[in-house]
Amino acid sequence: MMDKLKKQLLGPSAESKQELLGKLVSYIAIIVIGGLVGTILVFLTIKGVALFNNDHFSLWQFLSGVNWQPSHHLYGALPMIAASFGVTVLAGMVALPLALVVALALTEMLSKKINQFCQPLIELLVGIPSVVYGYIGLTVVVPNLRQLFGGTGFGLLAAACVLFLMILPTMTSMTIDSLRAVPKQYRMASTGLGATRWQTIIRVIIPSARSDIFTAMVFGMSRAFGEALAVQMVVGNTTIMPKGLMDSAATLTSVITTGIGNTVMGTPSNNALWSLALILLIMSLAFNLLIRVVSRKGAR
Amino acid sequence: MKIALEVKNLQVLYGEKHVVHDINLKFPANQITALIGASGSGKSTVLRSLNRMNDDLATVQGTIDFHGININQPQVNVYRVRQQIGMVFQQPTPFPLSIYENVIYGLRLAGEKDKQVLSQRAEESLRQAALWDEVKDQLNESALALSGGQQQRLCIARTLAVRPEIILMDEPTSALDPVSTSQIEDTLVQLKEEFTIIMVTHNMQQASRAADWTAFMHQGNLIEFDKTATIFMNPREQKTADYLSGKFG
Repeated sequence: MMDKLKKQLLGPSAESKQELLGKLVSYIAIIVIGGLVGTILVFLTIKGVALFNNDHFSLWQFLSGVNWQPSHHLYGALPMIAASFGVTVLAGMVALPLALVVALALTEMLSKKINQFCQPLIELLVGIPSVVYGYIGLTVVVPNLRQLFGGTGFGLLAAACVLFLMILPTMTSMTIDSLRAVPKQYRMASTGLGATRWQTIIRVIIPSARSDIFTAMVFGMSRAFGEALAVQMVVGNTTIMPKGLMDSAATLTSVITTGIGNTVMGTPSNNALWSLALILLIMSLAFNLLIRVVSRKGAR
Repeated sequence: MKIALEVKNLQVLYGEKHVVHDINLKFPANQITALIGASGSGKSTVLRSLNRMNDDLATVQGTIDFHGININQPQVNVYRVRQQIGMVFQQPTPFPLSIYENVIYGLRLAGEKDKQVLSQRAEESLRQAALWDEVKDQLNESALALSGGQQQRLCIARTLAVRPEIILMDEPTSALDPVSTSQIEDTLVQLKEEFTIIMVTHNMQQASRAADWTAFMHQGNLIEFDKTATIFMNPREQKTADYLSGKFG
């Protein structure tokens, strides 16, 4: 009797084995993911610094040079860096207010029925592959820009327009979630003090959702920054410093996708592309870090 | 006796559902009136109708007479009505702002910009809500750091700051501990010197302790309305007696 109880209480059982197995699987998954991220980081860093270490191209010239001519051993990446930031900021600046307005309309003003129809639609748009947005850019945006402003239509503005279309659903959807997370009681309390709906939105709802709205913006912009395909289809792909919005340009991502298949591994022109990729990675990490900092501030 | 608010033939419908039937009530000025009754008796619905908080949720029919004006008609400016007839809710709901900004929220809505007026009102209202001594050194800190009872008193101060005539309270202490509850009850008794208070409560002891008048509601009907002492000691209706003795509810 005592022995049986002792065995029961001290020995393993089906539940405890299950628990152990679960833990094991989780740890393996974490190690795999951590390993993957670590490998990417190490790999990109090694490849990315090869241009400076092996080919002795100066980092400063890489970051500030405006001539990208691999055939002449010139790797100035500034036009691409500028174009990447340009299209991202442009798209984000237009998308943010629009996303906010749409989200406010859906959560605060329009009826539940319209809401139930629109929200799945927006979420559907989030999942559309970027090549489709690129195609819309080619067939709708570029011809229209050509008609409006002349020139080829391909360029920074076209890329910004396509990115704007692409990130708007993402930002709207995230902003809707952040507004939904504002407690209902805030709206009631504010109304009870004599506030109009507009006053409640401006004074209570937006301030309480502020950090989440900002996160939505940064998230959308980081998506825009990293987008390659849709941009490549409409940006024109000329690696010179753009002087105006209608100028053809190339972003970090579009240069990598166009160039990586046409260069030989280990050559300086191939290494230079990896250096661009490293910049891209560092920027993505910076975006992520920014989101973390902001959402932690908001949680306090 | 001066009447602060008079309700005539009040009916409330949620869609097809008739939740309040033909209620007539006179709320005496500078007194505390409690609405009691079981869950679903319609007492909160009546309360919310009094300052038009039911506008988007239900159809409210009948007359609500405030100084001779029927405030239950479409052309009434509901925002101004709510400045005159304020509301405190069940859950303490300070906004994620500083204590000071919370108190003057309603004043800012009304367009008050004079800093002196704002800070004077803030102090006055916090004193009236018996919170001043506890928060006077942390007015610029977040209101969310306060305890539940303090938050509710802050919400009361926030309502007082607009200088309403009538304050509606929807179970103002049901989310609080007994100590905070009794602090708020004491505060209410002080406040009736200047304000008319109408509150919904689940807590019969609270009604008997704090209220001068008590209205008992059952299934959307007003069963009895009288002085609190009369209702509790000597109710006219059998239903009231049954409810007070715990036979249902």
